[in-house]
Amino acid sequence: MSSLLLDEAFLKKLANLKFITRRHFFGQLGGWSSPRAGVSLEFAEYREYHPGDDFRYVDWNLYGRLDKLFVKVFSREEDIPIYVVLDTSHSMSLGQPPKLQYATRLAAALCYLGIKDLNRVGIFPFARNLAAGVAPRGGSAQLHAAFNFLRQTTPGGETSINGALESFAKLRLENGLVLLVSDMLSEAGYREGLAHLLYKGHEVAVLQVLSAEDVDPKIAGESRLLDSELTNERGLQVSSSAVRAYKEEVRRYVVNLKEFCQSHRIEHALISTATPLEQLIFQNLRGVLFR
Amino acid sequence: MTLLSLPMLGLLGLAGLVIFLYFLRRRAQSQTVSALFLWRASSERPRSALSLLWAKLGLLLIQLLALALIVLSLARPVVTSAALGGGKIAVIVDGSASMQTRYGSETRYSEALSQAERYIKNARPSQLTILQAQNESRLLVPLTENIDDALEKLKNSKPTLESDANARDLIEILRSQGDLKEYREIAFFTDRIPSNPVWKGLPARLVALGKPVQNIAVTGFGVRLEPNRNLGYSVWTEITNYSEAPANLQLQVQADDQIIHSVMLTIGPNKNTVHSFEYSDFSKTRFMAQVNLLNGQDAFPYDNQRFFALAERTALNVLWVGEANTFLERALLANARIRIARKEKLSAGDDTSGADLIIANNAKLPLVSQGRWLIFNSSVDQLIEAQTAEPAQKLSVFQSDHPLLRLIEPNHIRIAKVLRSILPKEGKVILASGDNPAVYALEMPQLRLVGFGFSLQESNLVLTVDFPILMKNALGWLFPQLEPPVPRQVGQAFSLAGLAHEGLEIYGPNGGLLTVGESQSLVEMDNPGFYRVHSNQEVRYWAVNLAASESEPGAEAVQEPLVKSQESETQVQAQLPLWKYLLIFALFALCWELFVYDRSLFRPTAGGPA
Repeated sequence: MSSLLLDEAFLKKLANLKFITRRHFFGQLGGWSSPRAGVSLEFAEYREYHPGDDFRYVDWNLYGRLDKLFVKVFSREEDIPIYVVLDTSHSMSLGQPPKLQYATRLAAALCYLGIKDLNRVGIFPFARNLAAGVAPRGGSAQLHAAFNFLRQTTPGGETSINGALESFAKLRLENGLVLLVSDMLSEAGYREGLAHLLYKGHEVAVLQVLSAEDVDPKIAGESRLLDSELTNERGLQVSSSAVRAYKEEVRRYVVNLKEFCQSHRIEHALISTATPLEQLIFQNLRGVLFR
Repeated sequence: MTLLSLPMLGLLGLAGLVIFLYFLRRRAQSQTVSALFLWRASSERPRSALSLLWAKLGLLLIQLLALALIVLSLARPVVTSAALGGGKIAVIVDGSASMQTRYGSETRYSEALSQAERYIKNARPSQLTILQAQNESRLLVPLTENIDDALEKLKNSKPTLESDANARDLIEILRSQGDLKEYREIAFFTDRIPSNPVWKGLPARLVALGKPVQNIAVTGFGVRLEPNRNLGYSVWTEITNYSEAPANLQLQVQADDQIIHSVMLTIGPNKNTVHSFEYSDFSKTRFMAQVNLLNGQDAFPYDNQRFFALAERTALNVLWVGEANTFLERALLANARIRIARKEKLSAGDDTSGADLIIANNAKLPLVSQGRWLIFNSSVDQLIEAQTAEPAQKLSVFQSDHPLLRLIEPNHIRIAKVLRSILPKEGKVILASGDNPAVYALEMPQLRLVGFGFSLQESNLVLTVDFPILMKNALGWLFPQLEPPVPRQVGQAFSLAGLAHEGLEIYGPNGGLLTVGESQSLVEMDNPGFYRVHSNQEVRYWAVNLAASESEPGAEAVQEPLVKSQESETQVQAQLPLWKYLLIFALFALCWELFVYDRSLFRPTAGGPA
């Protein structure tokens, strides 16, 4: 089913991981403990019987000892809506391996983790605007659909993070965990878009995927730099000082994003495509996004 | 710098191709980046015109530099300079006696060694050979690359008491190690600049050593027998003062280790004096003259004594056959002690074994087969068939180098008649009158004969000054042991001819026995003094002296070391090939070009974000 994206052995390993969320979501019955009492196998507490309670939950042993009626309350398990918002703009096609290829594999792993825990998972690709993706649902069929979609994803278009996230926020979706997988490289910025998500009550995690070439470009001498998404181009004599200045600019851009995320309780992870996916999930993101 | 392959420089024309290719290739690389806005800060930095020019043409300049270096290396440049060292060098150090002249604690030889060592260290040759120059020059160090070892051997060398070297010997030794043209320089450290023309045309550096010193020397010493007066010997001594100051000295003459004469002399600066006296003791054979300087220190004391050995005056028993001749007797007496027994006629059965020498004058002799014979106007049966005398013609010399004619002028001899004689095949005609032998010598096993084919009475020979000398030569040839001692110098090889090897022993001046091999025909003597020679139950003495020329200060002696350098066209100087260095630089330039072209290759890969 997933031979192109993730192999079987890797998926088996993923079975032990579970998403970490900062707050509880009230969703449908699922695999997540809910603060609301509900029907499950897991005992929560006793409470006094009130008329109308289901007699099946009265603890008759306790009534025998205390001569008072108590009913057993069980914990309620609910699902978390997980929305994988995937950047498919043209800039994601760069790098070795291409950032989009890495991002789709990461997204596939996230989908698998979500669906494995009986959550609803949806995929929302975007470039300049939000595009049609996979509506959030649970179940193995959904996983199949998600993987199929991810396999067919192709890069294209200009990035507009703000616009795409604003569009996403306007969708009538339950509050959930929004996993934004993108290089976050947009001249227009990302702040408004992320603010929209927070305003809507989503919990947001930014998984910023950069290639080694983004961080440490191997360009020297007289070069004509082309923007991957725009028609802009700039002739530039790339000296070592120019490369240094660029790297400083990238560092500052990432730091600003990280500070913004920290100040808005958004998880941020800077991911290099040079890092093996297994290492990323089991080492780098463990404790941050998964447990 | 010299370019050995000059035409290779034509490859510099490739520079045009390099420039063409550079501008052909010189297009900006198109590079797609994720976000161009992040590069904005880079392009806003101001740059100087020079850095912009370098950015545009830097690569081209480096490429042209690399090309130039490669082409230059192909042209095989060499730097030729003595300062670079290398090459073959020959160092010749004068090891003759005069190099032992002292200046305080130093000698000329030690000065030569230190100068030679300094020269070698400065010259830094790749190969070095060292010779010691004296009468018997020798190779101290064969051509070697081990300079330190050569210097060690040079330091350990000692000077000799021999005379100056023959330049041709030195050249031959050098030539035995390779072509002379291969030598970068031949440095000769000596106290006498040789004037021999063989040095011309060679890369010779002649370094003169020597300072004026105080030196007196016995430059001549001889003892001569005075036979006519029967008084004994005339002793003759020449003393030279080579100093710039007058010399007060004492001259002593010893005979057989006994002082027989002593006199005080004063000799002016650079003057010599001859002192002679007579001595009547015939028994002495070994004489030594010695001078002692009384007003100063003699810098070269080895020439303060000189030796002379007289041959023993062997007594000869002479059997005189035929007519007497007073002139002949006197002439023989001058050279040997002779006892004469006379006989009118000699028959075939007569016993002649008691006679050392048989003299026949106007006689007819039977066949002889052994002994020493001196015959005048006589014939020998079956050996020298002499018939009637014929009018003589002008004498012609057949063997001018025969020992009998040493110091003889044959033109002085006049004869009236000559015997018509036929000599056996062993006979050698020395002087002839027409077809008839006038003076001849015959040497056969156990027989030596000197014959004169004319009558002494019909010749002016006895009245000429040559006659005693001719008789002396005749006796010397008949009796080699009576030969007067030849002057011998230290370091010369002396012939052992005439000495029986069996039982031959030669003792040096200090009493040490010299080793003489059975097949050895020459012996070399290293020290002045008397050498005692035992041969055939006889004892004789050889006097060996320092060469008188070693006492001379030398015409080229100077206050300060004088360096004369002669460079010839054939001089081979040290050559340093530069091509490999240029290629290394070219490789470096190409690496630099690669670095500039794609410096990202050499940048450590960033760890990247995690």
